[in-house]
Amino acid sequence: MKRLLFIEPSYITNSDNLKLLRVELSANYTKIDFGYQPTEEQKGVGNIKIPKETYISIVNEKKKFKLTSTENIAIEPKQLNFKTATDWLFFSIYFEPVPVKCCDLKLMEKKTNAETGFNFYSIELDKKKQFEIK
Amino acid sequence: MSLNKEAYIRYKIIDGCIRNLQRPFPSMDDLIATCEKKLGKTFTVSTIQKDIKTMKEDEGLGFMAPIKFSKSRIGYYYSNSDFSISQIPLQENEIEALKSAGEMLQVISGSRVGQSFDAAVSKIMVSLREQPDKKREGLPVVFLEKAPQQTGFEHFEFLRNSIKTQTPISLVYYHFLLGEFSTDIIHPYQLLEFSSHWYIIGYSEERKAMRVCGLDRIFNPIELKLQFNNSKFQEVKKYNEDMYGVKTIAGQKKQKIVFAAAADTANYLKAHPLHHTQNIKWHDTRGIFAFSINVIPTYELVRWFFNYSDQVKVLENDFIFNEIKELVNNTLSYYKN
Repeated sequence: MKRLLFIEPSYITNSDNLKLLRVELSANYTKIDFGYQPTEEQKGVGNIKIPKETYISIVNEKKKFKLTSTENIAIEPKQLNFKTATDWLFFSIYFEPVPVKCCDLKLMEKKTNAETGFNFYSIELDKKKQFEIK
Repeated sequence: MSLNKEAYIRYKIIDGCIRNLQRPFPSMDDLIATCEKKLGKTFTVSTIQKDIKTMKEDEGLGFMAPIKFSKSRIGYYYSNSDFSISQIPLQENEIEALKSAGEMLQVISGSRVGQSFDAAVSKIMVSLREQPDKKREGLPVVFLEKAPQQTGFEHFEFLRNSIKTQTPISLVYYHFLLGEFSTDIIHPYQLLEFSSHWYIIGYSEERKAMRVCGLDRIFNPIELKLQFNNSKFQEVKKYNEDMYGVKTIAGQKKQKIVFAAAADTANYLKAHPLHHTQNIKWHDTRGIFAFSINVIPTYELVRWFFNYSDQVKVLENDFIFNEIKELVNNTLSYYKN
């Protein structure tokens, strides 16, 4: 079964700090890589965590693909407290596998229409940005 | 297979027991007792059985020891009586030379390269060093600087393999100055160490040019099924030859830099040339020497001139001269008031 990597897909989000970097589709999992990077105006020292109810779904489909594990980021109620306003973090979130094909995804933290956190809409898994993993 | 130094020592002990003509056909109990006596800890039957199996069958280890069990003598023996895992047909002086090299490798392996290299070094050391030198109380004959392991170093073996197999990789990069994450596809050519920092050099699909990335700034490299682009191999060869440092400065080509050094720094530079193109231009009776180098300027080279700015003055090269002047002025401004 092919494993596909989508590099810097286009997406819509209200998050200032989070950058969705890559999406990996495989028969066993869907992995999304993120970078948390400070903004120029940022003064406060923040924290980061992911709610365990976070899921992804294919746009216009009801089925939810649940969060299964993470790398380098805590799942609520745990959280990582940054030490300075300039801290940064690379982390990955694993979900149940979505079908290995081109599609649009959305990643939701909890509630729809939430304006902050892990809410990413129209994550476009475009064939032009698709690579097969060796 | 997870190999460690102690396992190799047990193989040596088992090998010694089986080859011991005074007590041939050692039993499992004999092997366990000898290992425990020599290593000062207890071992299970299972551990020694696994060791024997590894010695017999592990192709990576390469011993392929012909160990058999004699039911009549209730003990182990080699079906080829000449066999030994430490049969290395070397002269004594060659063994000594290898021991020295092995000691240096051991120091390097601990800090700079990966697990498989560590295992290989352990294997060499166990083969060579029959007895540790107790007279020196563990003080090594050769001591090399051990830089603390930089982050990202865990990718070293992965990247080395990608270079060897000419496999492009997707990587995530964090730019320390810009404070931004980005991605790139790199066709990896070479791992490069400079001043205890490791870098990967390759062709960048994002930049359509050669790119150097510090291992401490890259995350989660993934090998891709893509045609390998080796179009910049020659450029990297020139890069290796023409630079002091790693990070080039945009727009700067290979150029001559002439600088004067005070007597003590001049001595240092004569003993440790900055670059293979270094030549002495002139000297005076006070011991001041002027040197020239012909290099592509890098951030590291600028930093070197700045670090030695109380001892070294750039005489010919406007670009470096102005860079140092600016850095010195900036430093002075920090110390005013």
